[in-house]
Amino acid sequence: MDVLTNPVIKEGLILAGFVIALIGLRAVRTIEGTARWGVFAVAFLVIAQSLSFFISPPDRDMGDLQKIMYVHVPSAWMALAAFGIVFVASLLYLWRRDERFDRIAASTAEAGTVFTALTLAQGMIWGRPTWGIWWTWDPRLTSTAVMLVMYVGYLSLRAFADDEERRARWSAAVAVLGFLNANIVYMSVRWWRTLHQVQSTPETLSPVYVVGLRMSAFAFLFLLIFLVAYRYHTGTMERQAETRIEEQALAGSTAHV
Amino acid sequence: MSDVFFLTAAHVLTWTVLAAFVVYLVRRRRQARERLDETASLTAGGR
Repeated sequence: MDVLTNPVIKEGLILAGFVIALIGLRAVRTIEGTARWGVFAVAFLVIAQSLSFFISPPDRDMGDLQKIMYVHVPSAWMALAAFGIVFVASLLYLWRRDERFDRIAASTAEAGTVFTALTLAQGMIWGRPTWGIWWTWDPRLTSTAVMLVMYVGYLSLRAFADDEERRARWSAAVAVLGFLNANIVYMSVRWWRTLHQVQSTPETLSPVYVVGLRMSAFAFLFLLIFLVAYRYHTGTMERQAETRIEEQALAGSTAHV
Repeated sequence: MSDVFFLTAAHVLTWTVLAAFVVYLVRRRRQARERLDETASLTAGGR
């Protein structure tokens, strides 16, 4: 139990987690590095989930059901973090008009959509035995559902817009608007105190659950870095293929002239 | 239904969805690689 409540371990985890994440951001600059990072992220995820699952004691009221927190809360954080990244990358695109920022935004939005959908589904599974209902129009749940719709709308817009520059510009505008909602999702439990409890932080959480939650959160962060980087590299390859086709078409039309 | 049922359901759902997403990413990358190789051979043929 000491391991779970030791302040050095709790705070050291944050420092170590962010240092490893920075190493990861450096590693994923190549596809080979991304693949290696993916293996590490999955291994860390297995270790973190196993430790969280088996070390932390059952909750006094919720019993083992509380352990859904180790997948639900990190998924929610990654969904919000993803929208934050999409927002920053979109702003950078609008400012610099560099298509790499647009590609980062698009890659992150796909992972963000998955994490948002997971958050809602896990929350429903947790809500049924805890609240007695699968769904209610609670501000946190509703704003998260709106966030999912916005993510899906963002990806649909990208799928339907043909002109690359216009697609990037429009989707960047949607991402900037969507980030407003991400803030509402985060603050909803404080602005409107209804059914959903406030954010799970060391202040609101029993000390014995903090280490497990932090390890799980970093495991999900490492996974998010892998998913986004892998999709980004694929996007780069797709762009290269498109460029070659355009060059071929241009060369063909020039030859006819 | 017991706590264990809901806990198991949440985990099965999470790992299945994430695994499916990784499969999607790998398949999409394979398609991109094939397309890139095709365009490379087109370019080589054009020359």
